[in-house]
Amino acid sequence: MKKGPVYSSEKRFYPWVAVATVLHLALFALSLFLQLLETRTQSNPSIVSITLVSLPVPENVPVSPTPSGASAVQAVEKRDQHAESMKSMPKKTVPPKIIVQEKKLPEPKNADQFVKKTVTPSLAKERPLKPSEPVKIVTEKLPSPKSTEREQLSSALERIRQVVGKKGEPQQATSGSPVTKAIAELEQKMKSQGSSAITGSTAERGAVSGGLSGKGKEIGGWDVSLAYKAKIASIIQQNWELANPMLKISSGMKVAVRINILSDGSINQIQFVKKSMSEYLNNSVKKALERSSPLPPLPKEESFRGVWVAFVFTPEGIEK
Amino acid sequence: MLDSKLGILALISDAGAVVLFVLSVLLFFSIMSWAIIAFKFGYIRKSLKESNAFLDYFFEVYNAEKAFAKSEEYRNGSIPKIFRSCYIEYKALDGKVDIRHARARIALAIKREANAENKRVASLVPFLATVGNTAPFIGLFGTVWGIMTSFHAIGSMQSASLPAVAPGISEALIATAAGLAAAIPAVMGYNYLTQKIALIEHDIDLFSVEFVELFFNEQEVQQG
Repeated sequence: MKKGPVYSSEKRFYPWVAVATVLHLALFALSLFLQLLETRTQSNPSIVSITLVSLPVPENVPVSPTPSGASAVQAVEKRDQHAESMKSMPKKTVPPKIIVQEKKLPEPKNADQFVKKTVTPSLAKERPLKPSEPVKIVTEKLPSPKSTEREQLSSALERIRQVVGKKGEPQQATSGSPVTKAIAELEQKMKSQGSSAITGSTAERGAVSGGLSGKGKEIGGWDVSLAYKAKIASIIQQNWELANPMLKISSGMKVAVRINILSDGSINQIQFVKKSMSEYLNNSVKKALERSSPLPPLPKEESFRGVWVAFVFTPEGIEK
Repeated sequence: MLDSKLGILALISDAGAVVLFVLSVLLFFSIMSWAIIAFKFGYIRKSLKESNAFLDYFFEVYNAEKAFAKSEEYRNGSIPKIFRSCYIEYKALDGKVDIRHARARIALAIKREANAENKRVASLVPFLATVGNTAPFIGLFGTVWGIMTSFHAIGSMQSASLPAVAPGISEALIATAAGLAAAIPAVMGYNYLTQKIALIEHDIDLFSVEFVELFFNEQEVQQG
């Protein structure tokens, strides 16, 4: 009598054990599935579009040698390099390379191209080109590095002279030493190139202002043909990989880089103009550029020197 | 397909024998807890529902014969069961003994049936308490054992770098997680079920007296 119901209730309990086992298995399978789903979504890279723009010439970053006075910034950098080398190696002669290069550099050709290069409307919105504004910047800033460069060089020459003078005192009587001859030559060069540099800078002023107003000539470092730019952009885009979760996080982030392309197409230098907050995004851009090197050789009109090309990497568009 | 990237599988496959044993014990505990909770939840819910329905009818008619006939419909309710045993005992006496003796025998039959019903209702529930109390400790044991072995391995590797230390601890901690996963539903289920069981026991105690009174009131009415 007593055992009957207990037995029957136990009997009814066993199906529940089976149900609980199945539930546990289902729960375990679900957690595995979710993990699998997560890893799959993470590993699938999406297609990322690169927004190609021409950045305005940054003020504190070195630019390629250009007719616009090799850009004030580069001149400053090279001047610093020379000054350092002068300090460390005072006995060596100072080759005034910057000025010589500037003399060789051709005048900008296509003024209209520069105006066309503001491809991305977003950036154009951010920094609208007012005809008067950029002219002011260039005209004010370009000449100053030139003058300081010349001052620097002349001071370096002075130092060399002092050092040589100290060491070569017994030989001064002869006055025909090769060192003094070299210094004299350098001085002459300095004088001649200094005047040309000044004229060059004034010429550049006209060129830049004209370029910006759409009538003059283009800034030299940026006159890579648009077709070539598009070509290399597509190559870089193909090599750019970015994981999906990153895209969600990095919305609105931008990585602006400038690359120095040599005549054979190899990327000589990568500079980050603007880094994003995400180091992963920055790295992905760097890797994409490294993977893309060497790029197609430069067009003939550009092949005699390296060019700087700027890119803005934006993961936008994927979210939408 | 299910490679080492899948954390749970990797943690389980890389775990030591003791941790695996602990995990399997906890899995058994968890399965049994879930089964008990589901089974008891249904059982107690049905019992309370039928008891309430029977009591409504009982107070409505207040007649032993009719109540007994109705109680046949409520086979899972605790109170209808007790009433049936009480009625059977009353019928077995059939006026052979005096009222005082008959009252004592019926009260005894009710007590016996109430005890049996309490046992039935409360069966398996203490297991939930056991799981709720011991599963975290069992899990902790697995973790301590896992950390012990992983530290031993680190000692033999002679490296205390994070990549050397972290995987072992991570594998060991899965035992604690499993212990808590088993214990939490068990404790919740135990609290719910004990509350409902207490309610049933209270009802049994209350209405047992009521039943006895009904039978002897009827007898007195019949005799009077």
